[in-house]
Amino acid sequence: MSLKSYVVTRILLAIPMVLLLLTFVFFVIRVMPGDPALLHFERRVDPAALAEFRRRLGLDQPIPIQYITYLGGLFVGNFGLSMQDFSPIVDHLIARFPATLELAIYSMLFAVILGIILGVFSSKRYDSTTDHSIRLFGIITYAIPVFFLGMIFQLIFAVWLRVLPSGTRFDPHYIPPPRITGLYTIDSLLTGNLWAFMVSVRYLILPTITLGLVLCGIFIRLTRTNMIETLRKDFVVAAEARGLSDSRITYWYALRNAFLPILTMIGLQFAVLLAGAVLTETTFSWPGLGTYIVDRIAHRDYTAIQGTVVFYAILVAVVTLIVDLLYAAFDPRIRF
Amino acid sequence: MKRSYAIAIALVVIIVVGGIGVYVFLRPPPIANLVVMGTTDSIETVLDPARAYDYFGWSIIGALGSGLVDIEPGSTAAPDDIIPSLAASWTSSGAGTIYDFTLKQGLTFEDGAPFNATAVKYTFDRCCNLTGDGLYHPEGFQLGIGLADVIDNVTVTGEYTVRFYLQFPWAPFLQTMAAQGCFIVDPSHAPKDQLVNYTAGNPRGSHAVGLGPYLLQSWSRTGGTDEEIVLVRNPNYWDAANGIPKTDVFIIKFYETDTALATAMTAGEIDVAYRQLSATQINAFRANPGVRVWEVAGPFIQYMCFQQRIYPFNETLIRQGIAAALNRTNLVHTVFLGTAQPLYTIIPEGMAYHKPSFEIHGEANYTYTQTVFDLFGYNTTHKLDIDLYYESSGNYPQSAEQALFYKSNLEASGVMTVTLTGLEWASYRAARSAGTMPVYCYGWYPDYIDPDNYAFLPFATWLNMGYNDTYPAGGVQQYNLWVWGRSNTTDSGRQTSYYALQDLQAQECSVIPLYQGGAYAVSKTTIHGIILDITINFRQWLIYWGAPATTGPFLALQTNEISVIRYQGKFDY
Repeated sequence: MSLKSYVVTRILLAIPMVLLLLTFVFFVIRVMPGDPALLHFERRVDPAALAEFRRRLGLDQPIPIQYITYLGGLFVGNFGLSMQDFSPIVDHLIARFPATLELAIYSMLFAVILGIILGVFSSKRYDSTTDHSIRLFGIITYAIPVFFLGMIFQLIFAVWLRVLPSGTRFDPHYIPPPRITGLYTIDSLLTGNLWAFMVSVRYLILPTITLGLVLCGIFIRLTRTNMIETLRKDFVVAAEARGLSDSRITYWYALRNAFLPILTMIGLQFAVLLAGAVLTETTFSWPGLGTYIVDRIAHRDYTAIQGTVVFYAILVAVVTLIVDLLYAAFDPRIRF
Repeated sequence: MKRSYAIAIALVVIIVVGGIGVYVFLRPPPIANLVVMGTTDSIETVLDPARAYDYFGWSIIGALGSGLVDIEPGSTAAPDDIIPSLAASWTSSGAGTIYDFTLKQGLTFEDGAPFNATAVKYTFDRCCNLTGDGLYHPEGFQLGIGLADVIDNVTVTGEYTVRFYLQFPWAPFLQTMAAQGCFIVDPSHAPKDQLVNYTAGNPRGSHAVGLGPYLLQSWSRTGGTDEEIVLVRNPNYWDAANGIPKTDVFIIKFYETDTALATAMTAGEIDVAYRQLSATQINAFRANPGVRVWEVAGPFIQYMCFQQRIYPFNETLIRQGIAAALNRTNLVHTVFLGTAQPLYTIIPEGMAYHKPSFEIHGEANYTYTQTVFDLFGYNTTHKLDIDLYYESSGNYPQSAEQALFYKSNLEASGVMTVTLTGLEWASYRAARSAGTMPVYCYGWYPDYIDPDNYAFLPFATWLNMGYNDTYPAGGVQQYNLWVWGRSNTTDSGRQTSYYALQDLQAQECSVIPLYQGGAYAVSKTTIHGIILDITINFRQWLIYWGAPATTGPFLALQTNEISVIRYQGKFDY
């Protein structure tokens, strides 16, 4: 199978997965107790207003028709209308997604870099106190609840030391960089505003470290295990016999070989990262998709909840697909 | 290898030091006279008086707009506390059915359009659909209180004079005119038959009003979730000559959780924290010398309801026995940590005509409970099984803890066994309407600040408690007293009727008042001018920076000071 065929096959496999998930979400939302339309009317319910409300959201249609309409809409990027103000949900997702993406990218980078560094370091000092300490650190960070870790950091760095902000995305006393990509760090650089870049970084530090630390544990363990195995292989011994430096053997030969499982794990951990982002964003009042879905749940905005969950599902499917493709690019054996 | 490490460490140090240098030395000068407030609240729908019916929406409309009259800040919202706003003066005639307002002259909306009597008529024709081509939104304040049943028409009698004809004498008319739901809209921005909705990137197009102390510079909102609001001084505000607003820029940051809000306040990242902090957080701030806590007894109440179509809750003595078993003093100290106060009548303390009639039942008065329960065969060996429902999705504060407390109270009598059931809000309200919950707790936040808006709760039809079915005579008696109270134009007459009504309600116990919530704000010690009162208008424009103040609780209003908004009308409750 060529790489092209592999790509096509993976995309075709992703379609039923997403379809199954969005079908599940659609029907779960509809079998939940309570009438979502009634929630929007307090003491007195005007039947005409209620009927109009249902009509605008398509809730007056039979469920199969609603389902077909919903599926049809998704194919053209229509995630439906918010129950709160009838605004298109896709606009909300576009507005909120960059904040989550920015947090996700930096958190994943932090987790992977720290995980690999500590994993390699641990493998090189196999069965030493350092090795045990790093393993313990990995277990603790993996097990600790993300919101708890975030609150501890807030307490130390924002309340006690007052060196980092406790939450939100930008200093409220100043105007954020103009939106180009929606990623403040990128937008501030694109507009040549170094100060805004530093403010953005400052506001990113605590949520990034919080989410990154929770994720890094698994990378530490994975890197360590793979490196220990790789460092015992014949080609490493051969490299040592040829007089190559220790760092070249470790980072150039051994780590490259140990990296493939880590790459797979990045894809798998992306879903965990999005779930963690909901709690991290809530803890740090980070205005991304996580806080958006929490807020929509609080407002019983069922259509927005449905749209966001489906968006998350598509996102995870796409990232998994990209990682698989990267894997195929890194490892020629995958193509055939 | 060591050289590589050294290079890496040097690079990291350079990046960190360089970053800090950039942050410190390139920092633009901060905006002077700026206040940042944090909140977990949000604007429920729109900034249009024809639809907005939520606390925070009204708060922002209050900053961006003005009404014909206002309520004296810090006052008790009594008739004497009505002060001029857009109207310079007013008179009442026709036995309270005609109000003539003389408007201030020379005022303009943001885009320069003049404010005059036509704008006033337009506002009420629009929001009450008085001329058949406006709005009367099914979820709006106007329909909520039936304002179109009160106002017959609005007539322009001159460029700066306008007359309101009422369908009947309605004592709280001026207080209603001070409500944000009656703020004047800008005809050029508020179509007569359409709401003004949020428009991303277009702050002026996102609200219907004008003429307020502030202009809306920006409003970041995604799908009904607010992120930030920036208000800037309106140089054309009618009271600008008196230095209002006292702050040039007022920024509101929205936080996801009360924990995040409290952390930001403690860390000094925001200047004011307002709505909502938990009882624990408020108590922690009370003990913090670095902040000021501003507090007042608020208008929110909770009460216990009985489905009186279900035996034995149709028995007055049973309900009295339950009322006697409750210990409200312990409730406010254990569940609310002293941030609420016990309530012994449906009209909250601090409001006129409040009479704690339920005190006749005592507190944890188990002797009385056992005595009356024994009449129905309930005793320590044959206990009454009670299914007590509570709302479990956060609609009311500490609902689960409250429910556990009530269970403990009632079971301590020895003649009751309580089973708790929590329902999320949608199911809870549906069960209320279906009349399937034997005993349940409900909350009330008033539409307007008057005893009239509380006194009807024990026989409110939408609570569907079956009270009127089971006790038609009692229901009629309560209803008549209520109507007498709202129709009476004399202070003594209203007092007589409301006192009698509260005594009757304490006897019949169709609902049992539980507690009254408080309103709180926390600020830096250098923040001044926060005025909390029974209206719970936040009045951002009066807040200013000053010298550090003595810390500690600041009680904006003492209880029992509150006067009332006189009220009379015909409403469909």
